[in-house]
Amino acid sequence: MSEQTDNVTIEDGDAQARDPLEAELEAYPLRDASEDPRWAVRTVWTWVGIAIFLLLFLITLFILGLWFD
Amino acid sequence: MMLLAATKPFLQFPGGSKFAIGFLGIFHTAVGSLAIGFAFTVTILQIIGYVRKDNRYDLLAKRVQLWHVCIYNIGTINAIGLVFALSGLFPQFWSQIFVQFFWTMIAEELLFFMLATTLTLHYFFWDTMWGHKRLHIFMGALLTPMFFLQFFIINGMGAYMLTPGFAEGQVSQWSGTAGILGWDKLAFYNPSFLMLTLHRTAANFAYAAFIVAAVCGVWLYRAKRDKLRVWYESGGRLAFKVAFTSFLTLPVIGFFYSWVLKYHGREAYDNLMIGRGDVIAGGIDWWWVKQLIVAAMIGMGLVFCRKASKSKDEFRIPMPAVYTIALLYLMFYVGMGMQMTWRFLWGSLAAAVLAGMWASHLLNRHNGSGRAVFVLMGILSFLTVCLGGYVREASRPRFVSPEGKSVAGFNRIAAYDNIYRPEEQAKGLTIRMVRGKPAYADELPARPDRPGIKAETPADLVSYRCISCHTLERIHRYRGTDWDRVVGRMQAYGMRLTDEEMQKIIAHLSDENGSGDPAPTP
Repeated sequence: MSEQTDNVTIEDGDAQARDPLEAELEAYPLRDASEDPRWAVRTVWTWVGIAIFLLLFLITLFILGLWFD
Repeated sequence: MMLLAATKPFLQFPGGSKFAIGFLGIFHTAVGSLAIGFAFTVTILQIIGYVRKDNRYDLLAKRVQLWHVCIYNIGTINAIGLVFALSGLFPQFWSQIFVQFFWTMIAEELLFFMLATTLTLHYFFWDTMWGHKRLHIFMGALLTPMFFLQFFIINGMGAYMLTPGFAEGQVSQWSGTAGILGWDKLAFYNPSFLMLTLHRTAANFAYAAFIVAAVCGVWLYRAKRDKLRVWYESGGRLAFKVAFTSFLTLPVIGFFYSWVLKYHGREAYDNLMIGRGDVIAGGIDWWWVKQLIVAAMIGMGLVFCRKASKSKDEFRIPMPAVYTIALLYLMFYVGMGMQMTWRFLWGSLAAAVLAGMWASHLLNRHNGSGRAVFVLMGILSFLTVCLGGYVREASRPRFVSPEGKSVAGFNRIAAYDNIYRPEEQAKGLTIRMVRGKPAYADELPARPDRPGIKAETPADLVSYRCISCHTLERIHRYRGTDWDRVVGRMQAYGMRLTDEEMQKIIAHLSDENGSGDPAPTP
């Protein structure tokens, strides 16, 4: 947290009800890889593969387009 | 109001066709640029959250990605509306562009699909992938090059309208022989393509990150809980500095962009620098307005960075870089030989100083919180994106005179002379868009008055027909001898020729540039 951030004036904030978001701000919820659903991981890997292939394909086309007209 | 007159059985767009395209175009620029920048901002926030193991940044990234999903859908629908409007209201213009850039448009469509799906999956799997966080961040990071490629394509077409082909004197090492219909490399990789792409890349990053900071500013005004305020403040500060860093590159890129226009799009350059044509609308020079806003943003950002850079823990921008760019910006137009140098210099200096003082006041008023500055910079950033998009299009040579008369052979893209223009719309153009010529416009050399040009020799024919879409330089540099095929291809792009004219052109080009043995007509 920065000095600047610390210096921000606080007004009667604590008197208000606790926002559920506050709990989420406290921890960075990393977990073990095995806890992720396998179908989700597979879907993401598959999609990342397709996306990389497509990017390389299109970039190749635009580079080839520099020579062929 | 939509009118259906017996003599005009075509329902007119409210405000006229040109207004419709302008509105949809600017809307798309504002939304599309935001989407591109959001992708980049989300990745930055996610990476910083991961490195620092600080969920504040990741949560902010997740929120931004949700807006992104919404914005992307709005932008896509808007893009389809723009295509419909262009193809319906300006069919010749659109068909020429679409045929010439057919394969690039197909690639664009593919990217639309990939972006929509990747974006949705990235948001959808946010809380499912905490065990594979780096993979999740990587998937989100793929959006930026995809977006980059997508607007790479749009820039090819947008820059072509400003600088179609290579100007005389330009020596290129490229030569074309394959003859792929629907791909025109010299039109796509035209002189201003690179600078437009670089400028828009940095501008989009800056714009979206300023908007993220602005939303954090609004949240700060509304937040009651301390913890949330700290979250919004730190998120806003990070987004603001990412934005301002990107923003600072713009004057440097802009200098070279103008330089390219000076030599390859002279009329557009003059329109911008002297304030002519549609750059002036309603008596206001919108490019000037944009530049003054940019000067104000530099002043405001400079003061914010100077105050915020005292903190050790924050991401900081080196202040010497900020001062250097600010100085460079003020010297920019002196170097470019702008006609209004001193007015611009003092005007922008005043805008920068006043905005800086205002930022200082607002920071003090909120006890160091950047909330007001964030919101103001977000609004100013939005305005610059809209105005930047407008003036780029408005500075293009007009293909119809203010009286609504087509002047063939007069402008570089004279194929657009035959653009469909409803009668009432041509009148509307004169009234709404060009109210009066500024006095200093007369200082420019008069444009040659060449209505009703007639091609008397084959060389004339080549000049008048070919120069409709590109410069003669491209013909001189062509190394092939298959002129029949080249001319046939140009016909496919929309060039209108009689059989006799076609034979004359092929024979002339073969004699001048090729084999001397004209090939038969395809």
